Amino acid sequence: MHKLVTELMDTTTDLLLSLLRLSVSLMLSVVISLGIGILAARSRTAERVIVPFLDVLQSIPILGFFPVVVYFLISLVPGLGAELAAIFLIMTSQMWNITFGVYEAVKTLPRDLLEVTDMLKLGLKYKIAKLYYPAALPKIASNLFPSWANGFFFLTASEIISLGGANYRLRGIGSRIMELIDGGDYVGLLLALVMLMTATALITELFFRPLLIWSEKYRFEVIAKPPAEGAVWIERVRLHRLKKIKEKLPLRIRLLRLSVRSTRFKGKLREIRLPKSLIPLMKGVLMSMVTLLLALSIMNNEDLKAALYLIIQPNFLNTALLSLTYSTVRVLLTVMLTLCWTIPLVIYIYHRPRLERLTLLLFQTLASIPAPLLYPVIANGFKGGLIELGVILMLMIGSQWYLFYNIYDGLKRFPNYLEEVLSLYNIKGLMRLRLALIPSIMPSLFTGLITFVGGCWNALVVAEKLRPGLEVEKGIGKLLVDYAHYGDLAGLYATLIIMTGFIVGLNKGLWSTLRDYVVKKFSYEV
Amino acid sequence: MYVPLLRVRDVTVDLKIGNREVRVLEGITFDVREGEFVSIIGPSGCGKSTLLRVIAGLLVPSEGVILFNGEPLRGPTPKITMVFQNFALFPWLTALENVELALINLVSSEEERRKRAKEALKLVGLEGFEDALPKELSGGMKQRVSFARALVSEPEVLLMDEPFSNLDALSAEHLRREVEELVKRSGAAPKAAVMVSHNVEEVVQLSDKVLVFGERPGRIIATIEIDLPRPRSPRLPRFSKYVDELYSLLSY
Repeated sequence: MHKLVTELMDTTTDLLLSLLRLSVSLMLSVVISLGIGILAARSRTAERVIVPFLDVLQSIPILGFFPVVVYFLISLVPGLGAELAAIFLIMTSQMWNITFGVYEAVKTLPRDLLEVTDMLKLGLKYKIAKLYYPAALPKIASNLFPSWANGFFFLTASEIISLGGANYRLRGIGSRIMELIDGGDYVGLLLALVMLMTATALITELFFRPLLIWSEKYRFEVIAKPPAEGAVWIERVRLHRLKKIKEKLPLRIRLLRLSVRSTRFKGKLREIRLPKSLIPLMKGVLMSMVTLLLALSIMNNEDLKAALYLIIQPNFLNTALLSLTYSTVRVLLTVMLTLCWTIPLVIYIYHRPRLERLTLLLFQTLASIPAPLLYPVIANGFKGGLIELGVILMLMIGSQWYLFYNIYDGLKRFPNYLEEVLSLYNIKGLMRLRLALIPSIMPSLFTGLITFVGGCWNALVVAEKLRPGLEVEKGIGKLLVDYAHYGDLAGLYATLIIMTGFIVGLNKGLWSTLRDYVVKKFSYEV
Repeated sequence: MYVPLLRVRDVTVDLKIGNREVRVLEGITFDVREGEFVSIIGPSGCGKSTLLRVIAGLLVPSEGVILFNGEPLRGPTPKITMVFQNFALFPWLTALENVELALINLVSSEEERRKRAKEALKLVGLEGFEDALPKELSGGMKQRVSFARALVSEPEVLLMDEPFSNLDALSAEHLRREVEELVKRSGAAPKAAVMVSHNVEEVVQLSDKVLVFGERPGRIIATIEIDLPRPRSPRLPRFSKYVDELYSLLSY
C-alpha cells in the first residue's frame, strides 16, 4: 500500500513536470507568435522574408533536431541544457499554427478600422492593444488546443529519446511510462494513463474551452452564428456540479474540430501565395537547406563542414538513400492503412448520429494520450519479426486522429441540398459513394494528408529505434538516432540535411500541387 | 371520372427545431389539376419550402397525405421532380453528368442516358455545354442545367423552390418565359407545376392559381385564381390589380 502511494506521488510529480514544461513553452510560443505574426502582417518586407521561412520550418522534422539541440545546449548551460532543449523543441512544434493564425487575423483586419486609427493619429501601442491583439485572440484561442496536443507529442517523444542519452535525462510522464513498462508495472501504467487523461480533460474544460468561448466576442463576424453543437465526453459524466458549471457556458464547440480548422487555414494560406509550378519546389528546398545550414552552423561549424563532405561520399549517400527509401515505404503503407479505416468509418457514422457521438467521444479520449507514451508498449509487443508492423502502428496512432477529423469535417460539409437531390433520385449505395460522398471529402482529405504525413516523418525518428534492440533494420529515423547515440555529429547533420531536403521537396513538389488541384476540382461554390 | 393530378390532403408537419417540436404546416389542402401552374407565396418561415419537400416525397408529413394520380405518395418518384433555389449541382460533375444523374435508376443503358441527357440540355438551350463544369457556367446557365435535370425524366409535376431568385434580372426574365412555355404546352411533360416564390409580380405572370400562406404555423389563408390571357403583360391594369390584391393579403 505504501509503495502504491509513493508510486502515485512519483507519477503525479512527473506528470506535473511535463505539464509545466508544456505550459511554459505554450506561453512563450504565444508571445513570440504574436510578435512575429503582427510583424509579418503589417510589414511587406518582413512578410516576404518571414512567411516562406515559416512555411519551410513547419515541414522540417523537428524531432530529428532534438539530439543536436540537446548536445548544443548542454555544452552551453550544463545543468539546464536538456530542459531548455526540450522547451525549445516543444516551442518549435507549437508556434507555427499560432503564428499563421495571428498573421491571418491581423492581415484580414477590416480596412476601415485601420484607417480610423490612422486618421485619429493613434500610435503603435494603441494599435497593438486595441486592434492587433484582439483580432488575433480568437485565432490564438482556437489554435491553443492543437498546439498543446502537438507539444505533448513532442514532449513525450523527447523525454523518451532522452533516455538513450548518457548524460541527460528528463523526468516527466514520458520517461515515467517508459520506466513503468520496463519494470512490468502495468497497474502503475494504467494509473498513469488515467491520470494523464483526467488532467487533459480538466485542462481542456477549465481552461481551453472557456478561453475559446470568451475569445468569441472578439470575432469580426457580421452575422452572429448560432452556437455549434458539441460532444465532449465530460457531458457523460453525471456529476451535478460539473453540469452546473457547464450550464454557465452557453456555447458548445466541438473541440478537436479546432485542429481541423487550423490545418485548413494553413492550406489556404499556401494557396494564396504559391503558383503551381516547379519554382515553389525549388524555392522550398533551397530555403529549407539555407535555414538548416544556418541553424547548424550556429551550433558547430566544424562538424557542419565535415557533414557536407560526408554527403558526397558514395558510401554514406548509399546508406542514407536506402534508409530513406525504407522509411518512405513505411510512411506510404501507414497512409494507406489509415485511409482504409478512416474513410469507411466516417461514411458509416455519417447518418448514424448516436454512433457518431460515441465515436467522437471515444476518439477524443484516445487522442488525449500523446502517442509516444504508447510506443514502448507497442515496441515490446511487436518485437522481432513483427517490428515493421509495430513501427507502422506507431506512425498511425501518432497522427491518425488528425486525418479522421479532417475527413469527418469534410463530409459534414456536404450540403443539405445535394443530399436532397440524392434522395430525390433515389441514389444510394455505391453510386452515392462514387458520385457524391467520396468526391466531397477529397479537399479535406488532402489537406489532412499533408499534416498527417508530416506527423509520420516526425514519429519515424522515435519509432524506428526506440531503444537498442527495439529497432528496424534500415530507416532514416534510425540512422539519425544511431548517429546521435555515437556522438557522430557530422553524420547526424548530413542525415538531417538529406532527410529535410527530401521531405520539403516532397511537400512542395507533390503534395501542394496535388492538393491545389484537388481543392480546385472538388470545392463547392459559395 | 376526373381525378386531379395532385391532391394535398390535410397535410400537417411538425418538426423538431433545437429542442422544441414546432408545427410548421397545418391542415394544408388543395388540388393541382392537369395543365395548372400553381404558386405558393407567404412570409419567410411559413413552411412553403417544407410543403414542397412533402410533395416531392422527401419528407413524410406528421398528418395528412399526398395523392398523386389517386395513389398515396410513399416516397420520391421520377414523376415528381424539383428545381432548387441554389441550383444544387454537383461541382465535380459536368453539366451532362449532372443531368444523367436523374436517369441512373431509370435507364440502364449508359448510351441511352447520355442521349436523353443531351436532348434535355438542348431543350433548355445549352447545346454545346455538355462538358462544362458548374463553376464555368453563369447563374442562369446553371439553373438551366437544373431544369434539364428536372425534366429529363419526363415528370408529370415540376416543383420549383424560388427558382429565379438567385439569377440576375435579365436571365430570370428569359428563364421565366421559357419555363412558362414548357409547362403550358399541352401533350408533353411536365403536366403541371408548383412554384414557391417571394416575387409577387412573377407569381402573377406565371400562375393560374396562387395559394397565400400565413405565418407559422403555415396555413392557406387565401386562394386566388388568376384569370388573365397569356402571355401576360405587367402593364395591363388587371395585372396590377392582382398584384395589389396579393400584396395586401401578404401584409395583413
